[in-house]
Amino acid sequence: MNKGELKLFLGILAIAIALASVTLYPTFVSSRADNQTGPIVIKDPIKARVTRKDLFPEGAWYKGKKDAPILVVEFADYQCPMCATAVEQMKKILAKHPDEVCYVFHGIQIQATHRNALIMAQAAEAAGLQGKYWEMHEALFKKQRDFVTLPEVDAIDAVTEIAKSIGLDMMRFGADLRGSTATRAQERSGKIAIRAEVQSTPCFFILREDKSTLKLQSLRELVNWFDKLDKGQQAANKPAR
Amino acid sequence: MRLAATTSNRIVFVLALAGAAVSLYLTLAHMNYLSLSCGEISGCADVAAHPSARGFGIPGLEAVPTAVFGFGMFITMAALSFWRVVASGQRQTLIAARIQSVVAGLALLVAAYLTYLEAYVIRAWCQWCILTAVIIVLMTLALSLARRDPTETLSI
Repeated sequence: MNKGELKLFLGILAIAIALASVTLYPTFVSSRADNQTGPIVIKDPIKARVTRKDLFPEGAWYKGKKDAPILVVEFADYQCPMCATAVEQMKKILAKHPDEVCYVFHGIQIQATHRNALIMAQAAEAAGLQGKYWEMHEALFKKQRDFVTLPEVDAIDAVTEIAKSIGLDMMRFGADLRGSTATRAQERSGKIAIRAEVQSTPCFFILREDKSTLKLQSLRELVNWFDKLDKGQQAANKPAR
Repeated sequence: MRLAATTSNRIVFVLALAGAAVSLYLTLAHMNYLSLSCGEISGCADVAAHPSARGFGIPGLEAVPTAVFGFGMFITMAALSFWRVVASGQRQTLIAARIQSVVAGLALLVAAYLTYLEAYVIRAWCQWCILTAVIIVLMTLALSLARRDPTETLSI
């Protein structure tokens, strides 16, 4: 064993541990502080730029009971990968809370590079006119990667293919895709997103019976929020000894 | 160009510790203890959302972030480098060096696969993953450029 070499290695190790502590610890502390702040809570309806009626307008697509105590409103971009992950997560949440959660979805375009997001959102709206909004919604997210480099003309062909695969009336779908109903519905979602200051997707709003509005700016925050809710409910249901 | 075995081992040790730090950061970010710093042009959020970011995308391994495997690999490499220094004989040193070569080779294959996913499947780049891949390449280079010590022999 070379003692000089051992000393050098121990020195390098000590420097590495010190450097890692110096760089990681402040990030850890600030991250903890951010987490303690938690999601943005909008309690004052005058200060809130969006109301329940704005987030859940007449004709918006929803799952669950309309008058459920928890309203989850999602703003998502059909070309955002994390939004595709949110589809399965929302399904799990809805399966776990069938009577408590009403889920509303708004398709928007969050980035200029997601150039097919709007036509995809309109395709979902057009499918909705034939009663297959959620089938189209899921199929679009499943095929999301096919749209990454597609020019808009080809994107129309791609959504048409998806529409065919879910059994839509193709003549009607073709007309509805560029029709005023689908376009207006999509534009309305975009305007609500601007008012609600949606800056990234997926972005969730949770509205509860106490009129408070929560803005959760990531899927992780939504999952954490529901985890806390579940734990709270489990604790409340535990019989007292 | 060849490197002395001692120099090669020192380089591998430093690189392994650097790689362990990056993997630890990614692991903590995955476990929600840290927020992942991605920068504006990077697509690391897209990469982090891909199934391959958890258990290499292998069913049954999703609960373990892929970064944990990277962390394990880098710690193993650093430990083997350390072992080469404290080993009592040439035989042990050579065994450690050979295990390192195997681990580095496997790591290189995994890094190449993950980089391929970023380029052609996810179509987004994560600077942390690229940094990890670069460290693995440099580590493998340092090992392969090491001059064989004529006194080192391995007879089993």
